[in-house]
Amino acid sequence: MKTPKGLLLSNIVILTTFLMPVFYMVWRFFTFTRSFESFFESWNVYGLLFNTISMFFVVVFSSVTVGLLISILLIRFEIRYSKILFTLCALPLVIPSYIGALTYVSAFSPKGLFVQLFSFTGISEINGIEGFIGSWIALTLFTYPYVQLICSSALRNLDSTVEEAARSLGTKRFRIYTSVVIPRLKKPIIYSSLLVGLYVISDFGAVSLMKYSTITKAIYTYYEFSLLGDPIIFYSGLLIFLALIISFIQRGSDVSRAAKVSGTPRIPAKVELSSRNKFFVYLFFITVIFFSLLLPVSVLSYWLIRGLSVGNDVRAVFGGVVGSFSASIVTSILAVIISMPIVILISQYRSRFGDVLEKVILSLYGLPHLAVGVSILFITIKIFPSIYQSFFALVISYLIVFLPQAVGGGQASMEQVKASYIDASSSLGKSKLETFRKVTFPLIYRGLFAGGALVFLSTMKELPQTLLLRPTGFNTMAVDVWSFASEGLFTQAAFSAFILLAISAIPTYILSTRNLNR
Amino acid sequence: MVFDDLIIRARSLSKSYGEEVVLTDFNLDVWKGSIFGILGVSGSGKTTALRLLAGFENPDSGIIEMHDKTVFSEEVNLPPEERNIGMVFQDYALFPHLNVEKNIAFGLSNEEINNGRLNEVLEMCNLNQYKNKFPQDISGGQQQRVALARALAPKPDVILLDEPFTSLDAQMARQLRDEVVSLLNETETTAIIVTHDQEEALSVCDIVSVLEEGKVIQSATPQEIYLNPISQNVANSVGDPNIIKGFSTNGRVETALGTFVSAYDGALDVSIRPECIEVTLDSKGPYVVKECIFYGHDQVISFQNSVGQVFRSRSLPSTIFEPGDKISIDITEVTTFPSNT
Repeated sequence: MKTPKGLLLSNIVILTTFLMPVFYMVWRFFTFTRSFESFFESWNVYGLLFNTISMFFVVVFSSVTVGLLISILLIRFEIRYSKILFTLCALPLVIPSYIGALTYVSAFSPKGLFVQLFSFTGISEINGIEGFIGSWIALTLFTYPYVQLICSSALRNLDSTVEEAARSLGTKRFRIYTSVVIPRLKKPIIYSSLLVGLYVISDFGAVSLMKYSTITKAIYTYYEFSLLGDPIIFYSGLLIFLALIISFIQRGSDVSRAAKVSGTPRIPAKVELSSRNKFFVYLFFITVIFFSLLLPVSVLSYWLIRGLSVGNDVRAVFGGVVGSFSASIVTSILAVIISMPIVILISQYRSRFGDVLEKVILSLYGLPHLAVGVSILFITIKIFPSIYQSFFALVISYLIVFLPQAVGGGQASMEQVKASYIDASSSLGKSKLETFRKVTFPLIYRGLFAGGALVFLSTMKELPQTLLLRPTGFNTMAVDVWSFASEGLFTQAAFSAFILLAISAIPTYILSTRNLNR
Repeated sequence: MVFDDLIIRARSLSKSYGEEVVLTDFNLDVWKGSIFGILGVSGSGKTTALRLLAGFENPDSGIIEMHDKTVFSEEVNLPPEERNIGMVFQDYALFPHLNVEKNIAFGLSNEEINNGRLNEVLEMCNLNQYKNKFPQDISGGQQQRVALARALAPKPDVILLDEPFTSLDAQMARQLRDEVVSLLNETETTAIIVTHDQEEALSVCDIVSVLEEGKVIQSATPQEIYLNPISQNVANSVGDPNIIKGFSTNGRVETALGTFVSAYDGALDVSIRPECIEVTLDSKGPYVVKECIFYGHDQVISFQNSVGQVFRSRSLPSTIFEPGDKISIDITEVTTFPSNT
């Protein structure tokens, strides 16, 4: 079918607008007045790259270990309460890294909560958990759920006949995992590690609170103290480059194909554990849940109660709540509206342009928020000064990174609208508009709503772009949490953090598990 | 069949997708109340022909008229919703968010519903007990009925059925086919059925058009198509004839199975349908049974002559033939075509 001109045009406009930050970056990158060598000589580029990449590797390693262990144990072994354990283990997914980091920093700083609680034992100061170790722990605890969810859904779809074959050939039970099961989970493991990796290199909240120098932290420091163009652009470009490499490799390991098997997958009978092993397994789960869920939630509750009891002014968080809601509502509604022409073009009209569009939209998802924020920041300063530090520019920046979520929601539901439904409706005498109202819309509105909700939640938790682009006087809960926490005002930070989690935790959990299980 | 009123007339329709030509010089005349069949293998352009008539796609050239009104030409192009054509889709295309009743009511106005049309259709198609169910909760056969009911409800001038029975199992398909035909006849609805199934086309339709590579190669009654196919291709598409090459001189052609009369001279193909060869056990017969496949209602006997050429005969299952039995044959019907090569 030929693509209508209006639809094509609106898509071209959207695409150009959304690629603007990338184009701008590329342009700035090639018009530096200084040579690249001089960047490497004058700044600590190697050091920052090393810090970022080593964090990438350690977090990916630990997340995969924990996430994979959880999925194999819960799916292949006889463990009581496995459903509850699964949910509890996956729940940390909803905790934004800066809130997680805040709880660890405040609990384990040299004179933090831990020291105060145990002062009766004579401890007066500890080596605080921060820097490399702190970031490692914080990032691992809040990213392993991605591995857990992706790998367990793959594991559930894995046919057990190969394992049975291996056993019939005399392979011992433990060796089956290293020789048959894990190799077959290679694709989902690679896919989820790269997802975690992307999260790690783009993360700003946790590393900044942990005072660990990575590329993102360097960008923000330059922004805060000098607003020098060259280093900010250079590091953002570097970050985008790293992110693109990662998402490029990730695209190659498409999980949806990796997990599929022919025929109905047969789940093998769950394996009984010996009582000694049972003890270690439960210890493992208790440890994971304690550090990733129980500890952060209790520390947060402690600060909240303490804040309330010392009479902190609750009204201080109102500005942030109002800011978060207004930004999230506007962004999510616009994202749904803008995603419509894209979704229609991609799913209703097979065309080369549609394929390109789909790929571009997917790659937007991997772009580090901080780098997109930087690009929009400089575009508004240099090209459109009238919208510099405006709500509008902030929303554009949100839309660029969160649009893929709305498109994903719309696309998933559009798959239900078969072309023959549209034909059937018109052969029954309905006009195009009536067909949309009576057939297409009723079939897609749930998907649109889910996509919009995901954008809403993501916007609400967004930190780095908001820090760079927010208008003077405009606050969000995320910004409040981060800025109070970086000044050590944990009781205030806990207020906003608590409200943020209370609003977002359950819907985030439902929507993300649904998406990752698809 | 009533030959007094043409309801659809299509002239010289053609359609290409880029380089690929899917339909050339397609003509069609459908009389009111008749069932018209378009028979062809997949890729022959038959579904495209249907979609052009319905208005889902536009022909590159040609004219479509309905009821003396032009619905497509160089100047006119009526959208599908204004053509008053009902369509039963191959995948049924039932709306998954609407229950059976609402699916059927989709094309009806409130006034028509109030006048009892909905209940009438539900009754007529035996769907009353399913009316509150959703399409995904009923069987394939029921879905088919709903699709037909939905298309019939607004009383279209003509109803188009795209491979309506292919997704059903054989027994269900046969049963529904009878139901559909009697329903179409009862309501005096004109229908065009697209199918790749020769049995379906021959048993259901009043007129059949055989389509091959985008061209109509013969258009006639089922009997005519079957008994007097215009070419070997038509003969092949409606049956499984024995084809014997021969050369005719003075109106007579000599073949391995005997000498036959031919209307013209030269190289030709003689087509003999298996059921037009009667075989009888005969210890002095010139042919030997090679294999016999028993189907219940009939049996197919493969036999060979002295030089090893193999032919097929279809006969009633009353006599038992064993491989090696000697037989003689009697040929009742022969068709000749100019040779393809």
